[in-house]
Amino acid sequence: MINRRAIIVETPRTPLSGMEDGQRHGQFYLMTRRFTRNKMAVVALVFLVALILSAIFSDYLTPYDSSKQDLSARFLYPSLAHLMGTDDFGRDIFTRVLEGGRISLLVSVISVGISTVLAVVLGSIAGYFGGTVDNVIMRVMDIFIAIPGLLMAMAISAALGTGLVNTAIALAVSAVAPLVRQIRSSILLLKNQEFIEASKAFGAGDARIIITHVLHNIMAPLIVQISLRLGDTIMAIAGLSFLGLGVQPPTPEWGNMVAAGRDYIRQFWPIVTFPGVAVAVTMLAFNLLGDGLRDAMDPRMKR
Amino acid sequence: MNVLEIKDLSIRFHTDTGVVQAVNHIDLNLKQGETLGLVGETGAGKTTTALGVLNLVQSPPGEITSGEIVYKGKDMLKLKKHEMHAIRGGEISMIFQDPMTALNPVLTVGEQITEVISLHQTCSKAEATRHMVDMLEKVRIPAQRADDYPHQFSGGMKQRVVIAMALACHPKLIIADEPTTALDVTIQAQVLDMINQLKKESDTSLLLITHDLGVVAESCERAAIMYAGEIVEMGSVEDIFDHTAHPYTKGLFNSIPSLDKEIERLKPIEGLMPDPTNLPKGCKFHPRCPFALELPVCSQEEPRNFEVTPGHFVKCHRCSNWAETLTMEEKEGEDNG
Repeated sequence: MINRRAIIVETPRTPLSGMEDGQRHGQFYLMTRRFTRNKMAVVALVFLVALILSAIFSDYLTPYDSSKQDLSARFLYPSLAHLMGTDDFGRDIFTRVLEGGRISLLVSVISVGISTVLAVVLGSIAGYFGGTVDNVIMRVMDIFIAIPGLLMAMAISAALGTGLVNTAIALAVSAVAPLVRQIRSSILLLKNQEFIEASKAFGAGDARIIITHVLHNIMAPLIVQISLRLGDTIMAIAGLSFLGLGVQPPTPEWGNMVAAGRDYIRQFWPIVTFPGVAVAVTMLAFNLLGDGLRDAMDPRMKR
Repeated sequence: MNVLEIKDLSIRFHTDTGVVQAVNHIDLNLKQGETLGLVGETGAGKTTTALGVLNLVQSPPGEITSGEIVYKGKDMLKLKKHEMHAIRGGEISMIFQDPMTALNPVLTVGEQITEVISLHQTCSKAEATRHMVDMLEKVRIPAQRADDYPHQFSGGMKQRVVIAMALACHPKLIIADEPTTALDVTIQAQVLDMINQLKKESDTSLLLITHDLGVVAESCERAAIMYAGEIVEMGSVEDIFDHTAHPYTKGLFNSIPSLDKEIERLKPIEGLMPDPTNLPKGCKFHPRCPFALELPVCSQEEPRNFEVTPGHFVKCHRCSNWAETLTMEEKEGEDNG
């Protein structure tokens, strides 16, 4: 028999990189540090914060009223008085873009909030328990996936009627199914891992395992998804409003501003360009933020 | 007093290719403070047995088709869900094979140990944290590392964290499922020493699952040898090592290379483990058994458990006539000498 009582070597603990100074930092600090290394994500975050603040305080930022018509000041090109010019009714485009941002952000946050909660509940039940429950939930989701998202949102908003809340609901419902699928598939990967079995062996119940172990593990991808969904939803709101099914004029919204200005696209560029750019830049910012968060939140990232 | 008694336990898995007979009518008991080694090849049903004890066999496809698992007079298979949760981790704990995957990568080790404590003990958060720090120090991990994540630890340290989790609630029985297989040899010895020492301190029983006979020799008082879902030989470590009776156990010992002798080739047991969906008739080992040809009964009838000496059980037809086996053993002794 081989002698197994080999010399036991107590390995001295080597300090981890970044801790040479003996300082130990909280996880949040490390996450923030990782996040701030990604310059694009920081720029995106600053932009989004500015957008949110300007949406909240738009009433104080410009001297104009978004719906006040001034027929003597139609089709003005950008100037110091009108940063983005004026539209066909003489309304200040800058004011309308800021206020349109308020509507877009509000609707997309509500809509993504609804769809995330629904998707987390349905996805974790389907993924964790499997079997018949899984089958029923996923087949229903398949029906939803079979219908193109924008088409479904159009149908729902046509049925519910237009308006802020209805637009949010329509977009939420059409976004649930793909998110449920993603959550379910992350959970399927997770649930056969040994640490899930280990926590069962340590006496944890199903609810506790789902909340502390499973959801904790999919948090990073979920936050990235939420961030990406917010961008997509802003695009979809603009799309619906452009088609006349979302937010109705005269309430300013980026989509309906583009729709209203599209007749003048050849003669007067500011009227479609600024709301269009606002949609594009906001979406880009959400995507960059999502990427930055994903890199920063993974504790296994060693940079 | 027996802490754990397994009686006639059978576990099947229903798969597309057939019914896998993973565990077949095994009997096992474990006394207070005792260490029992459960030895067998990969696929012999060791882990399934362990999961069966905690009623963790996934169903479907798994199913416990017969038997009783009696822990302190209660049949584990008939407990209600919340009673089961109280026992798991609180009274019976499990140490898993691979510490790399047995810890949740996104929670700090401190949080994970605290979670086990708060699952089983009603105490304030501060008390749980204090207890967690004690446990970490018991497994010789400095307390300030409690806020680190599993990926910041080495394999041996992770396994010590798992041990701390398993012992946190002072269980009466620990099931260690190949606790050292994923570790390198020096760390293996360290981890085994630690398990043994902590076990002695708290008078816990230990069911040590392994495929390493060296580990059994070092840590166990009794051993059970598993083959194709059956326990073919069970007895004290002396019985198993010095009075080996079952041909499979003998084969296992013969396949360990000797340090003293210069040999060209290893001596494996001929043949392969039978397909668990299609186990052979009679003795499960007869297709590989060097003695099967002598006794036609081996391929016809399943052998009984013979108690050859008190406490030493062997599931082999040859033992129906113990005297004959003894003479053969002496003959072998002469051959070797």
